[in-house]
Amino acid sequence: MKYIGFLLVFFVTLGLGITLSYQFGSVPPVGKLLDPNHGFWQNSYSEDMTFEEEIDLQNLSNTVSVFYDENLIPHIFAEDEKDLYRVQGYVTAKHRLWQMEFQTMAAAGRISEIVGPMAIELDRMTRRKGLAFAAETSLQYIQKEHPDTYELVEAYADGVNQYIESLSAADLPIEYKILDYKPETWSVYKSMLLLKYMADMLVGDRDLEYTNLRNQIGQEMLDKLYPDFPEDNDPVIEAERIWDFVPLEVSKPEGTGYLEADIFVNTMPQPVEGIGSNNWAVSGAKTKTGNPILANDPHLSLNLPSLWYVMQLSTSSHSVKGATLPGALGIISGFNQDIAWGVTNATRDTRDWYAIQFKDESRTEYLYDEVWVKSTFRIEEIKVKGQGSFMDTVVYSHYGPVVYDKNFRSDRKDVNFSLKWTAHMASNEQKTFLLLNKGKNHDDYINALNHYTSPAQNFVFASKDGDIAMKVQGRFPLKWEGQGKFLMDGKTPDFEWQGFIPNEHNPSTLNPVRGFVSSANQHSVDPSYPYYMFDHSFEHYRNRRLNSILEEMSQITTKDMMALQFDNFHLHAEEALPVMLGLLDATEVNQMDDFGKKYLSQLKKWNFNAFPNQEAPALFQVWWEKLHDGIWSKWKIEGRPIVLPNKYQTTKLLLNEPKSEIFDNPETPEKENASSLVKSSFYEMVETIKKIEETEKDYSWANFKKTSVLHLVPNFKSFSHINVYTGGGAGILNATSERNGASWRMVVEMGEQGSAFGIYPGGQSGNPGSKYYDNLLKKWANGEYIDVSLKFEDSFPNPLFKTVFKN
Amino acid sequence: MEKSLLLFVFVTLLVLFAGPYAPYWILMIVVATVTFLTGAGKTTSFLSPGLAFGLSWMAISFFISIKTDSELPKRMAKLMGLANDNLLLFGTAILGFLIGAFSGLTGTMLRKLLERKG
Repeated sequence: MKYIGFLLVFFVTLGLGITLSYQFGSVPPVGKLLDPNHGFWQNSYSEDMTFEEEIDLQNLSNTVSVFYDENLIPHIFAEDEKDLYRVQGYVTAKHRLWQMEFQTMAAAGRISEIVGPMAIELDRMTRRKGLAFAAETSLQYIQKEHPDTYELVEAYADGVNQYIESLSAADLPIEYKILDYKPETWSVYKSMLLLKYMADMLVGDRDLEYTNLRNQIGQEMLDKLYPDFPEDNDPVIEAERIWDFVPLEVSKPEGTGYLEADIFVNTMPQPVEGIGSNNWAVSGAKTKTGNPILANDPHLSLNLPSLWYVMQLSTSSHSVKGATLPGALGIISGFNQDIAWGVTNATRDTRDWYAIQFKDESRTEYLYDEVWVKSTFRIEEIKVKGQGSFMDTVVYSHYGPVVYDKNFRSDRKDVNFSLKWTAHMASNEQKTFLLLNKGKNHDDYINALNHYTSPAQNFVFASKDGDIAMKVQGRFPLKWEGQGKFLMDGKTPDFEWQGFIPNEHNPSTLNPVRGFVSSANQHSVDPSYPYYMFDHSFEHYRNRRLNSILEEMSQITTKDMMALQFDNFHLHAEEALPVMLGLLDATEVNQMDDFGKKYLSQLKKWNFNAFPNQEAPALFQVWWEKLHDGIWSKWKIEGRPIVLPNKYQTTKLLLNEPKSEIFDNPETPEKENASSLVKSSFYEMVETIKKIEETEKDYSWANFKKTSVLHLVPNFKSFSHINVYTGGGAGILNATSERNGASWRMVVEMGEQGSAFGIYPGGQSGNPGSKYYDNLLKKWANGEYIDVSLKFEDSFPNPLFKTVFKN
Repeated sequence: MEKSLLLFVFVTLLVLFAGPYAPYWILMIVVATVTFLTGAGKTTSFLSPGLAFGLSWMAISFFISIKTDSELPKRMAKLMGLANDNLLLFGTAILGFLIGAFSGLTGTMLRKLLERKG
C-alpha cells in the first residue's frame, strides 16, 4: 500500500517535471512556458530595460558603437565594412532572430520541422520550386567568383551566431518557447535563402492557366481580352524614350507550335493581387527647395514581426540608412549622403514551363533533340515534427525541377512539367545592395545594378548632384514573340530561351524631360521597346493616378510626397462606376427597396476616395466583385485552372461592348448582356451589404476590408492586429487591402541638409512583449511618419541607449 | 512548525536565487532532496514547499508584470484561451504550488518508505 502511495506521488511529480517540459500536439510545454524565471514572463521586458552598455564581440578589428534612437532604430558606427556587417548581424539577430530564421526555414521548405505535418504540402511545394537548390547554386557562385561579398556575408553570419551563443534560456524569443524548438547556427547559405524567399514572394507566372485558357476560348479571344499592352499604357520608362541601342536578334524557329492538351494540375498559389509597390523621384526643378525628392513604398503582405527593420549603417567612409531585410546585409531601400534608391517589383514572365517526356517510369532519361538525356534526382527529406520524415524525390531536367508530376498535384502519369526560372541561376544580388549602400552617383548605381538578377525590380534613383533615374533591372530571358506564355514542348530546342537581354538594353531613363520618374508595377515600357515583354500581373491604375498627379505638381515638398503615398483615390471606381450606373435600368431603380435606393444614392454621391469612414467603397467593391464573377465564372471548370480577365479589360468591355455575346452564359436559357449582369449583381450586392449592416451595424470601408497585420504564425492571433482602422485598397496608391499594403513608406530629400522620413506597420522589436513590437503601427495607419534622417556619432541627440562592441 | 518555516524559507530562496540559473525540474529534485533530508511530516512537506514555490512564482511574475507594463501577459492569456491575464498569474502560481508540493511530498514519502524498510 505504501509503495502504491509513493509511486502515485512520484509519478505525479515526474509528470510535472517532464510532461510539462515537452510539447504535446499543439499544446505548448506549459511548465517551461509559465516558469517565470525562463518562460514567457521573461519576454515582457522592452529592449530599453535590459540593454547592455558593453558587449564582447570576437573578430572585430576596432570598437563599434551602436546608438539607439527613441524608436529603437540602431545606428551602427564602425571603422570598416567587415566590422559593420558583423555588428549588423548581431544587432539584427538581437531584435529579429526568430523571424529571420523562420523565413529562411520557409524558403528551405522546413516549416514542417517546426509546426508538424500540416506544413508538408507547403514544404514540398517550396522544395519542388527549387528554392534551396537556387540558394546552393548562388552560394557556390559567390564563394568562387565574389570572395569579397562572401567574406562580408560570413562576417554577418558570425555576428548572428555570436548572438545565438550568448542567448540564455530566458532570453530566447517567445516563439521558440511556445513552439518548443531552438535556433540553429546561422550561415552564409541562410542569407542566400532569404533572397530566394523574396524572389518566391514576388515572382509568379500563369503559363499553365494560359495554356488551358487558350484551348478553351481560342487565340483570338485571348488576344482580345488579354492584350500584351493595354489601351492606356502608362509605362515605367516614359513612352517618349528613344531606344538608343541595337537589339539582339531573336526569331521564332519555323514550324514551332504550342501543345494543345488541357492541363489538369492543381497549380500553385500565386503572389496575390495587391503585392506591388510605388516608387518615384522628382527632379529639383519640380521641388520647392530645388533638391530632388525620392519616395518608395513597397507593398507586401502585412506581417508581424515586420518584414523590414530600419537601421543606420556607418563606416568611416559612408553613412547609409533605411530599411533592411533581417538576414540580408546592408540597406535594401534607403539613402546615404549622396544617393537614394528604392525598389518596386518589375514583374515579367521569368518563369517558364516545359513538358518533359521520360523514356519510362523510372524517369532517368528524357527525350531532348531526338536523343535520350539523363535526368538527375534530388531526394528531399522533409523532417516533420512529431513523426517520421517525409521523403520526396524531385527529378531535374536541364531546364530545372519537375515540379508537377504523378506524385504532386496531378494524378496523371504523363504529367511532368519542368520549371525554368531565372532565380535558379547563379547570381549575387547581395552585391548590388553592398555597392548601392556606398554609392556616390549615377554611375555607381548603374554599376551596382549590373549584379542584380532576381526578383526583377524597378530601381528608382536620386542623387545630391541632382540626377533622377529609373532602371528596370533583372535577368530577362531573350524570347521570341509569345515565347513562354504557354506550356512549352521540352523535347525540342526550339523552345529554349535564346539567351538574355543585356543589362545595357534593360529599360532605363536618366533625367527625363517631364521632371520625374515613377513606377507602380505597370508595364515597363511602351510597345516600341525592341524586345518581347510579357507578364500577367501588370498593374493599370496606380501608375496612371501617380503620373497624372506628378505631372501637375510643382514646388513639391516632402509633405506633398507623403500625402501622395497616402493618396486614397480609387481610379478603377472612377472609371467603372459611371459605366455600371449607366447600365442600370432607370425603371429598375424605381422598383428597389429602401436599402437598394440608399446604397444607390451613396454610390452616386461618392467622391471616389477610399477613406476608412466612407461607405461607398464597400458598396462598389462588393458590386464589382459580384459583377466580375457574374460575367466570368461561367469559364471556370473544376480542376482545370485558368485566369480570368482583369478588372481593367472587363471595365473596357462593359464600356465599349455592352451588347457583346461574351456576356451571355450559354448554360442558361436567358440571354445575358452587360446590363442584365449589372442589374443582378447590384441586387446581390444589396443583399450582402444588408446582411453586414444587420450583423455588424457598420459597412464603412475600414470595417469592411478589415486590414489585418498578422503574426507570421497565423495561429498566434493575439500577437496580431486585426481590423486596423485605415483607408486605401488594392489598385489605390495607398494600396492597403485586407492583408497587403505599404510595408515601408519612405520619403527622402537629397541635398546638404537632406532629410528623410519613414514608417512601417509594426515596430523595431520582434518581441510581442516589447513596447517596440507595434509602436509604429498606429502612426502608419494614420499616414504619419518618423524622422529617419542620418545621424552622427559625435552629436547623437537623446539616444535611448548606447552599446559598445569590443573585441 | 520550525521545519515547516525552514522548508518555506529554503524553497523561497531556492526559487528566487537559483531559479534563474536552472530549469525548474532541477529545482524539483533539490526540493525533494531537502524534504528527504529534513524528515518533516507529509502535510508539512507538501504545503510548505508548495506554498513557497507557488508564491515565489507568483511574486516574480507579478513583479515582472508591474515593472514592464507589457502587453505580453494579456497576449499569452488570449493565446492560451484564458479570459484574462490575472488567470495566467494564478495559473503560474498554482502550477508552482503543484510543482513544489509534489516534489516535497515525494522526498518525504521516499524517506518514510526507506525508514520502514530499515
